[in-house]
Amino acid sequence: MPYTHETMDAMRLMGDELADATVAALFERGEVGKFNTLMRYFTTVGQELPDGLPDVAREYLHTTAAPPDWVDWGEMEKARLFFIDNNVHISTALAFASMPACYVVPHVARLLSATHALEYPSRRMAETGQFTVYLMQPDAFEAGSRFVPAAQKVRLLHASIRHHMRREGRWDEAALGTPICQEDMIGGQMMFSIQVLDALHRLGIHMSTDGAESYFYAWRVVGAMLGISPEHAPADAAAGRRFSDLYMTRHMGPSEEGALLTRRLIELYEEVVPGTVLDPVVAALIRYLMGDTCADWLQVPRTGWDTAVKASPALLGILERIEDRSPLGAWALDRLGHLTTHLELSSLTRGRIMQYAIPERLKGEYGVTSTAPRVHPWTPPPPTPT
Amino acid sequence: MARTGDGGETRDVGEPLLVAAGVADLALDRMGAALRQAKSLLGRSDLADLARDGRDDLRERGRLALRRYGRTPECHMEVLARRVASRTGQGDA
Repeated sequence: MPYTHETMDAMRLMGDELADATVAALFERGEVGKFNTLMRYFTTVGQELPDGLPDVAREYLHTTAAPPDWVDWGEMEKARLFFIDNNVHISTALAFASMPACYVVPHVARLLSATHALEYPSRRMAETGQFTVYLMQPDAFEAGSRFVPAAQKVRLLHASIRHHMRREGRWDEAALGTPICQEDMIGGQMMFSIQVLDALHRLGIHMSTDGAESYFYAWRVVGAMLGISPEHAPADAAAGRRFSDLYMTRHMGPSEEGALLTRRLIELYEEVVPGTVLDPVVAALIRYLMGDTCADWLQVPRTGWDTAVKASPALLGILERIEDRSPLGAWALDRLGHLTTHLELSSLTRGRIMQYAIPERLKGEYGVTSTAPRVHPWTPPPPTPT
Repeated sequence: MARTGDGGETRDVGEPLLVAAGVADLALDRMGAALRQAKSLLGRSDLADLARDGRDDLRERGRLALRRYGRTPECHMEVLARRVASRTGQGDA
């Protein structure tokens, strides 16, 4: 479909009817707590739904249990291989390009701040990371998979944020349309797909057209499972480019919330990078991937590493040559990539399973208390006053 | 080359030592050839031109190597951001 200001404006009014209706019914009947508790035990495809699950939830889970019938499984397998080949680079792009891209859209940054009290992006990063790892398992769509239930829960999570933002009057619907509308959901889909491919290119990673298109396709499938209407979603990377460019230029700009979220993201990654010497690389990499204008909008600090990081494509090029020439080198780099991805994810999740529960209220469950950095030295609590 | 012939003086020397000596001899041989080449070079009148050609060759090789390893593609997000900044005057925010 053609992407113009008119078609994009129309998408700002569309939410996700099925998930919105499910969440509205759960709240109306006071069944959210029960639903969340029971859903903790529903994590894999093929598992029986827990007894006592509200009917409306049962119906939703039944309707959304299968991936869309148009999925080309050959493409999905190619996407999985592409992900395996490029896992570290993709994780890097998601962390240093996709996350800041969300923050450079001011109304998205405001929504993230309002919902998560997200001065601390670690929870979202952990959820996204785990989601992507589930997605790229060989059995992602088969019995035993954790991906489909995760997608079903994330879709309801988005619907519940829509519900809260509207009910609490925190969203200027006249100016911005529906919270987490179709345009924003597809915008997010583009940040995880075409913009990741842009970042890989910027890092000098060589990709085949087949690989890049299949990676894009996998996110098209994921988008459909998360409530994006397939008729509006870009069909291929070329259409993705058009949507993404128009979406970004319609909305991108500086905001206080965007700068704050970026600062927290940088701190979070500095915690993950071992030691302190390499800490400035985090900011430098964001600046390199986002460009100076966006980095300035997000108040990404300038560091002495800004120039050095520009050599990263050269470094990655050399690593790629080693990979091509020596099976032992390829094996070693693959193991290193695997370890890095898992180290990143485990630092973020800290061993938790991310439950994607529906928040009963905003801020409370997403508050800073549960996600505050735990790197500060512990000191014994002072004696209880007598 | 070190002799491995019938001469009694080399018969009791171990195989590895002979191989090592062979390698050293070969290296010296090459070095000798290089020195002879350098000597004839010094006698040439177009030495300056040769040196310049050599430097040009090295520079070209360097350029190719940099292009192979160090090409930095344009930052797509920067292109979009500049477009927005020029439209809204947000460039120095």
